[in-house]
Amino acid sequence: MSADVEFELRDLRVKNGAKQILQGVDLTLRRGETHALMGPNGSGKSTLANVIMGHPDYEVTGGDILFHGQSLLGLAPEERAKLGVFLAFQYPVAVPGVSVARFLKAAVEAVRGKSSGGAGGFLKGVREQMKFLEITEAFLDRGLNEGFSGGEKKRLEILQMLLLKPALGVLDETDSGLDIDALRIVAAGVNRLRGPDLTLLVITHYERLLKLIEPDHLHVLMNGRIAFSGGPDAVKQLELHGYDWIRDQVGAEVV
Amino acid sequence: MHTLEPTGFDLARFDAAALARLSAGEPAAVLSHRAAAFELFSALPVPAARDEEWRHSPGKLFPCAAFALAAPLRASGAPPTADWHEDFDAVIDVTDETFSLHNRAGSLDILPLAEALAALPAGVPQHRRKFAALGQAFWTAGFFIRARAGAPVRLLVNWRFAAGGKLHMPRLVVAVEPDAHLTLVERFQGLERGTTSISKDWKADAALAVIGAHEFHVGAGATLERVALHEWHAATICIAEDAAVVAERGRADWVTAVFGGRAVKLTAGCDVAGAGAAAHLSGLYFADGTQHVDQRTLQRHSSPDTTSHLLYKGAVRDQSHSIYQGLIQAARGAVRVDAYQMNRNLVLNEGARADSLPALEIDADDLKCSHGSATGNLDPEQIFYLRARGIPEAAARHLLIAAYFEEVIGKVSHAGVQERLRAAVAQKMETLS
Ligand SMILES: Nc1ncnc2c1ncn2[C@@H]1O[C@H](COP(=O)(O)OP(=O)(O)OP(=O)(O)O)[C@@H](O)[C@H]1O
Ligand SMILES: [Mg+2]
Repeated sequence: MSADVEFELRDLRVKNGAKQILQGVDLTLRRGETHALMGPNGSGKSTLANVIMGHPDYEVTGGDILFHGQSLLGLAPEERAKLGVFLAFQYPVAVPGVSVARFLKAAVEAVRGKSSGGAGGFLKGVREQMKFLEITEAFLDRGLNEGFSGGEKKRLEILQMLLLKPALGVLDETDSGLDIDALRIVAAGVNRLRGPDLTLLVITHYERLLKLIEPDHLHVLMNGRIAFSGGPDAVKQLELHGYDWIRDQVGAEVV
Repeated sequence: MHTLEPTGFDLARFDAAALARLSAGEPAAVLSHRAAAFELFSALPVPAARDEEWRHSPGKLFPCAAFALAAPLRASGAPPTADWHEDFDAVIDVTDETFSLHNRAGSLDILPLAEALAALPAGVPQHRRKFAALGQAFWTAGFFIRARAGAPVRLLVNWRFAAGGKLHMPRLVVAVEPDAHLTLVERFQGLERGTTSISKDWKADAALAVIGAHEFHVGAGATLERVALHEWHAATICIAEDAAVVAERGRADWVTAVFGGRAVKLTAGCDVAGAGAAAHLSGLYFADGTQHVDQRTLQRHSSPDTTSHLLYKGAVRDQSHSIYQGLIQAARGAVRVDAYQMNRNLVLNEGARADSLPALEIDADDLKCSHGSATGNLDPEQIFYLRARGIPEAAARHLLIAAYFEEVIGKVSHAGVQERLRAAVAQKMETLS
């Protein structure tokens, strides 16, 4: 393993119930890199994201997930979060009765420890990031994701990422549901954190996000395997020809 | 499991001789009042396991006959108890067989029931139930409370009974006069804290029995906010049958919270009896160990243009069992009625059980009426979301349970009571992983 490998999937095989969803996925992300992951609906992208975070419904039937060379497989989701793994959910769940402010405080304290600035310092940091993401302060008192629009939920996911400052960020279709302006704001939020300390896996269906968060590499997941890996320019071919372009390239045995 | 032999209630000891002993020396008006209630009590059938309502709460769970009837209350000069009293205009402290009264409110009258009987309003019709009648005949700790129109008043009643193997029978008759506004917080406690794990040998650790029968008369345009906080220790059995009648444009907001008690059977009936009357009934209960918490509500619409909204939320863990039975009744001609009833239950582990039995009896057709119930464990996707943000699993569960109850806690206006409810929920979760 080369010294600067941050995150690695090795022949990862995953089942949900009776269904084998991932059939041997290999991926290597070096420190500070941004990788885009595309693929048709149902190809297993969210499964991959959830398994990285440790979702209990998924059973890893083979392979490994390595973060800084250490396997994550035996670790609980909260332990992975504390190590610096972050998942921006495709469908963030609503938690009525837990206010956004209370949740953010609990999350930040759990991952980063109690802040030295006290409650005032914490709120100041939250307000600053909210301002950047153009989320009004009224959201702090609302139930977590309760009645939020699709776009509002996605902004809140990125707000959490900015506060938790992860080492590995997995963004699962963070662009879906965002209007044109919101997409730009959210991408700017993500780019705020980019640098050598953040390694990113960006799951998306569209080129527009990748114009704003420029990846170093592009992968295509099809039927539970990486069917294509290449440079970021391949996204143009995909936009033009669809996934048939991959099918033509790799032959029928994958699809 | 609680499936016990369906033996009936043993109420034979509540006879004329017992009543005569209890009421010896009371004024004639009191005696005749008790006698009338005793007649009703004698005429009503003893609840039996075959009655749908009592199917889950057989007499064996409530061995009232094993307890000696407490003596009628004596006045003591004790100062008011510490908690919250400064927030209230008046405090009634009942400590075992004594009471003290503290009333700073100009528009509130509080009288021991025996001194007030001449001024009492006529009884609430749907209070014709066996234990309500028993409470009306045999009350040992009774008060009449009258709120007159004027500034809103707050009354705290601390019911605290010693775990001395006695049966106490508290009774409030509350009249909120037209346009008056009364907030009433009742806190029920045993003077000894028990553990939450209760032995199956019911008789051996039975320490306190309580049978209550309160009645509330909410006048035209008046408001009654009532919170009943059941913090009994673990060796208490409690049956309470409370009823309210709300006149035109009146409003009753009830919050019933049950945390303590070994076996608890509560009935809360509310008749929105005048046009424009509204009732909001809320419940919060959390049972653990082998606790048995059975609650029945009645939303009765005897007039057109009336509203009743009900939300009862509970949680059960360990081997505990909760039962909720709700009934909405709309009388013939009660049109433009808006009635809603919802019961939710969190069943936190296998072995705990929550039964939910809603029912409707509707004689009118122009009404909006809905009811529902939902029972299940916490949502695993919510737990995963919180864990993905670094919050450990047990803490995530606690956060979600606390959040679940927040909807009901938010209906209480007094901040101190809200805090107490949150603390009681937290205490119930202490050993929950
Ligand atoms: N519990 C389950 N039982 C059976 N199949 C499941 C289960 N959960 C997910 N799947 C299936 O696994 C496949 C992969 O789903 P996944 O959500 O990972 O796809 P995706 O690539 O994220 O799709 P999209 O682009 O639509 O978000 C789908 O066919 C889905 O229906
Ligand atoms: Mg997906």
